[in-house]
Amino acid sequence: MTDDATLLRSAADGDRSAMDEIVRRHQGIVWRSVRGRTASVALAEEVFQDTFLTAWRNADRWRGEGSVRNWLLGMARRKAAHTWRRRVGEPAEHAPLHELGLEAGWGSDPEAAAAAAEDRDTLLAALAKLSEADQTIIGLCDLEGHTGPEAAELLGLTANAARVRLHRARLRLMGVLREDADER
Amino acid sequence: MNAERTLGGLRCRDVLAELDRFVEGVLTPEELAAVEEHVAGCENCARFGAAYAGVVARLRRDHEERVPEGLSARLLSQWPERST
Repeated sequence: MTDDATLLRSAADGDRSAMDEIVRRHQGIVWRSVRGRTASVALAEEVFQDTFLTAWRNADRWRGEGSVRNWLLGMARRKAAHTWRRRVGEPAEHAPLHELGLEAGWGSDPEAAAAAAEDRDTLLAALAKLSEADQTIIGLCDLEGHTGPEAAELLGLTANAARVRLHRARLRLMGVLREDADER
Repeated sequence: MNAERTLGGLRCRDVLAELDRFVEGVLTPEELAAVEEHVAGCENCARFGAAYAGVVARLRRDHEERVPEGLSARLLSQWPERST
């Protein structure tokens, strides 16, 4: 099987079938990445297509550092992030962990967040309300399935910093899910 | 709730801080024993741990989500001419 790097170089030389193969190989992970970071299916579709079109146009700019998959995912993340304006009232990064826990239902009704998460649209809508940093770490680790150390490397963090960020992001997600459940 | 309650040598807030590692199954045997002892006697932490694990599992279930039908077909073999 031709490796991704060779395919991308062929695509850079104008080989459309090589680009087709790159789409076939990576469409699943790119889709999951953008769907978890956008407010609607329509926006996700737009970002998905834009990601691969940009990859096609800029195939000759890939420097061969890291994998083609991570190059695509990096573009997808940036494009998805651009669909969001800066969130208002973003929680302070250094709120004590137990306060995040309380908002997530610790000591009261944690089941509300878990029950709300069962509905996929509710879950995705809650994810979309998180800050870009929170969406990114949950996207990398829980949606795309990267390991903690892989996510840390992609984000330029230590493994422990990535771990703490992920844990806090999940608690904030539970807080949003619980708040949304209260509003219904 | 009382985040300072101590069971198994851990306060509730200590358990909260380790929940992610608990869910990942990466606690050392000693840490795991302490968390399990705490959770066995603390309904709040048991309930919260189950909810947290449920949300993580739900997020990860979307790994199986498929690309919408026809979406990539709109790209395949239809790559535009490059402007250069």
